[in-house]
Amino acid sequence: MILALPFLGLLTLTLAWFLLPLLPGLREVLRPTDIAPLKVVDRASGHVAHFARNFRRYLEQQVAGLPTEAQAGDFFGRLPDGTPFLRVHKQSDAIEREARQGLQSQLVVIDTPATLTGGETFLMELYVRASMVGGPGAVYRAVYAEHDLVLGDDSAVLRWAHACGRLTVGNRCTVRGRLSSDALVRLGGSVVFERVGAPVISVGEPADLPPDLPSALPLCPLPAGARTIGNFVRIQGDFTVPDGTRIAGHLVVAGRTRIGLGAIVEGSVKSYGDLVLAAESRIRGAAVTRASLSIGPAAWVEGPAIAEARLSLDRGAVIGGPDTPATASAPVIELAQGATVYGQISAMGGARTL
Amino acid sequence: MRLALLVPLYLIVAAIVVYAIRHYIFTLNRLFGRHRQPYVDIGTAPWPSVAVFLPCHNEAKVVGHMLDALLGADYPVDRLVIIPINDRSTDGTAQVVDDYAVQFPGRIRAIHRSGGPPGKAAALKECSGASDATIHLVFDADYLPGRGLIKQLVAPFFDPEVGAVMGRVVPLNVKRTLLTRLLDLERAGGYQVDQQARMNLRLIPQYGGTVGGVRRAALEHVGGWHDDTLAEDTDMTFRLVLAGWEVVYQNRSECYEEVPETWPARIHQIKRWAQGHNQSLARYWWPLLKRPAHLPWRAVVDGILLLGVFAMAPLLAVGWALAVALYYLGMPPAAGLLVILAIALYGTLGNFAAFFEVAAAARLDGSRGRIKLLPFMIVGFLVSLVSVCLATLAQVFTRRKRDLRWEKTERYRAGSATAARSDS
Repeated sequence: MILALPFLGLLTLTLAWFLLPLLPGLREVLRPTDIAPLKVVDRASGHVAHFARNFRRYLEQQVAGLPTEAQAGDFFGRLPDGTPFLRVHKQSDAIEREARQGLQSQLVVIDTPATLTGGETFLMELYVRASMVGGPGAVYRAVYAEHDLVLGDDSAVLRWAHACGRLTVGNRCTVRGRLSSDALVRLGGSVVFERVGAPVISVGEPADLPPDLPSALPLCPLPAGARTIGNFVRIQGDFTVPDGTRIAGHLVVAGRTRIGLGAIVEGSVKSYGDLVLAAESRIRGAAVTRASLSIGPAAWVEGPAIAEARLSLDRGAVIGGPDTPATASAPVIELAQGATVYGQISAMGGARTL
Repeated sequence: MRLALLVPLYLIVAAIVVYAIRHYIFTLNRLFGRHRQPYVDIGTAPWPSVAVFLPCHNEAKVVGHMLDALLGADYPVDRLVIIPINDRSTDGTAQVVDDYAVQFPGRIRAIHRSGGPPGKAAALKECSGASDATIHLVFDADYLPGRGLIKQLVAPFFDPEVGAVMGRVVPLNVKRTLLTRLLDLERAGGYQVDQQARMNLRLIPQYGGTVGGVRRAALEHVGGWHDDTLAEDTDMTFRLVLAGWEVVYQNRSECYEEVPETWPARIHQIKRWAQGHNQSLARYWWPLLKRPAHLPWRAVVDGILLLGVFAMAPLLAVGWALAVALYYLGMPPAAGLLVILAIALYGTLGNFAAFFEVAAAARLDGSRGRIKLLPFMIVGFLVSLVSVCLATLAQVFTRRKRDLRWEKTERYRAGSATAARSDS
């Protein structure tokens, strides 16, 4: 019996040693703390205006819960969920008065068209039931306008800005987050932003759509190694579509690609290397590259434009169309004056206008 | 004699080390590398026509939830048709899909199969011609897609080289049993790390047969679906890649699924996967190794390793047997500091490569508590090892052609889809 004790002790120790890493797991099995399915599905925030629309819905619900006497006229107080709230019913000096006391630290609702003097800082959301013209140097956490909205020069938006009408962004503004409009977004010079969505997005005045190219352009000669795979042609190595020629279908180039002056690709183009569209060239489908995409003056990509490194639009360059909205997506995007995108711009590493 | 035992052992050890290195490359890439998801921000586009195929065999419990979810999808109604394929169900599936087809004419087009070979692959093969949509998506009937999933899965097809797209499968019935919790971890490792790393490194992400789809032009180019395989998804992946198409994985395109809640159901599933995968290994390892001009060597190597995943289980078992045999025959492998160091290194790092992958996935997903279950994955590993070995043995020694039939995983859900979500 005594001889067995060391053995039993060793066995117990070994078992304990073996079970030790299982203890946290056993505890998690018996008393689960993390048992819900991953909250990853039904995430609808992919839409550029998702947060703006959610905010509007939230505000409607909260305002409906206010006492009757607080539903009209100027009002200082709190929403039912405790959020500090200021409503300016008529154009008044309420905001300036508040501003003199420091920052706007309450959710602000303006019921009538408003013109702000500039320099305000809104630490909570600003909701405008009409149009609003912001002054220079203002800082907004988030702003929603039921009609047109103008952000003054040198302003900043921390989360999002949405206008049901036109949204004009002044020069040198910085927008962290999302910009959206149901009509048009017009960006000034040196604006920095991440995501924009609107039927028309332009830097300055929107560019006219490039004119139709002649329908009888000569077919582009393909190199000897070109291979047809399903419905696209694959070319190994660099490739240039000569000026004034056309490619009849989809094109995949395992190298760098240049679409020459006034040339047209009737389908989509994918390039492993840089993809350059010379002036007035056109891709009727999507333009995709694993590197950088450069769209020259008055060149037009009718489908989505996707670059894994960088995307630049020269003056008058167009992505998408009035009837075929599309997305311009790249980590970094640069837009010259007159560049126009119909649909959406997404640049997680930052976009800027020139 | 010694050499005859040692050489295979060293070869097996080398293969295992290669897989361990592969696990580490993938995991480190996901932890520290650039996350490549070029198509994920396409939210506005001239969306192409899409047909969603739903092969169903006795899915009355769940198919209604799936149809409701698809009807609520954020996709232009005039460019989306839902095609449930009822394949000789006996449980009321036919009635459910017919009711929906009557209620949503033009949006849901039910197909009933009563003849021809049974099974998902056969159903897809026969019915893919029923739609001329540009993109064919395929879902299993127990899945619950979110509103934006169709757009997310279609977005990569704007790249003309993309032939197939795969989304991420997320278990819904996690809390049911220890098995479902372990499968939740395993799925996380497989998608969040393994598939996404292959996407990041431009290797060969696998089209998984559900929560994904193929371009019709690509499908036609490679000769349509094959019904002589148990893994039509792996088969499709490699036919596409060999023919010059690209397969893309979208980690953000997530969809809920039910995972097996009982060990017999899990064993049945893993055996089917193993045999299907091994079929593809036999068919495509040589065409891959011949390296078509468009495939870089790294993709070839990754493709062969991907094909060989299920073949590793019997190899591992043989390796263990050889090591034990050598020991008891008094013929241990050559001793020496280097060998001891190598064994120690592998013991501390190599054995845990797959677990490291799962742990990294849980971290990337922001999961906290569930990672504590990691040590229990050894149970799942051992069960899988034995099951895959048995399936492979059966495949090797039973030469007869396996009959086509519905290989179905049991469904556990009851009530509405919303209830299923909130219940879980």
